[in-house]
Amino acid sequence: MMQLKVKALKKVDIVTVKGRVDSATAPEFDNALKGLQQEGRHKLVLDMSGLDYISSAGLRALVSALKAAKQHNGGVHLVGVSDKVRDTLEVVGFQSLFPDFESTLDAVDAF
Amino acid sequence: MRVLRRLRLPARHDQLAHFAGAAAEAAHAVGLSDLYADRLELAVDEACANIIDHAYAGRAGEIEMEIVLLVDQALVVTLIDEGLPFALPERAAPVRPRDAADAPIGGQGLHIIRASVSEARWEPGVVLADGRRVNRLTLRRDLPPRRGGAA
Repeated sequence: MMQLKVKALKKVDIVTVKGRVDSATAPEFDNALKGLQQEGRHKLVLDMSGLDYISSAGLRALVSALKAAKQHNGGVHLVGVSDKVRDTLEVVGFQSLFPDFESTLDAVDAF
Repeated sequence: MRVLRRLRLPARHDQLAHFAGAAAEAAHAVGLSDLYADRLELAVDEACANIIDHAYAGRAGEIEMEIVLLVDQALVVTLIDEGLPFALPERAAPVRPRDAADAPIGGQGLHIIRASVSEARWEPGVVLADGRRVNRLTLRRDLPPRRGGAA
């Protein structure tokens, strides 16, 4: 089970993702991020404080979003990353790709 | 040797959480740390996703999982499928990309499996005692040495 919520600010979108992003739910996660980027929204803050689990399928969506964002002077900032999700990012060596902030405000301000 | 859990479910992505969750539960039950339990959950999830995507590749089928405790030695998860044998690359995707442009999209699952357990062994096309030809994947997490053993 995964829940997604998007809140649009003036220049930044805050995507709250909760639950489990695995091969079953990653397509929905990927589509949501791609949908925003197709509308020209490339500054994304992902609130992961309710994210219990992410597999390589979810990481694929994250990297894909990051690559597209970087091509348009945007980025993907993470908030509320749990130890478990951080460990998964570390296993694949992706932790340095995604700036990790303590609060949504900090993550938005950093753009 | 003690069988902790047996599970046989359809090889579908919506079943992944059941396989992965059972593995994490067993890991906690035998006293493995949260880190090792999380890693085993991840390895089982990725392994089952590989079976669904590559061995069954769109066809219907099942995955059988058995979790066994080798007392004082290891927790062993065996995954069996009756899909097509598929070759796994010897090397996993490169890790630690310098930047977004350098980061691979996909190919991380195998690396995650290998990095998350003590040993991962693929045996495509093995014949079981009941005569079935199956693919067998064995994931082993060695148990940490027990504290306070006999002097």
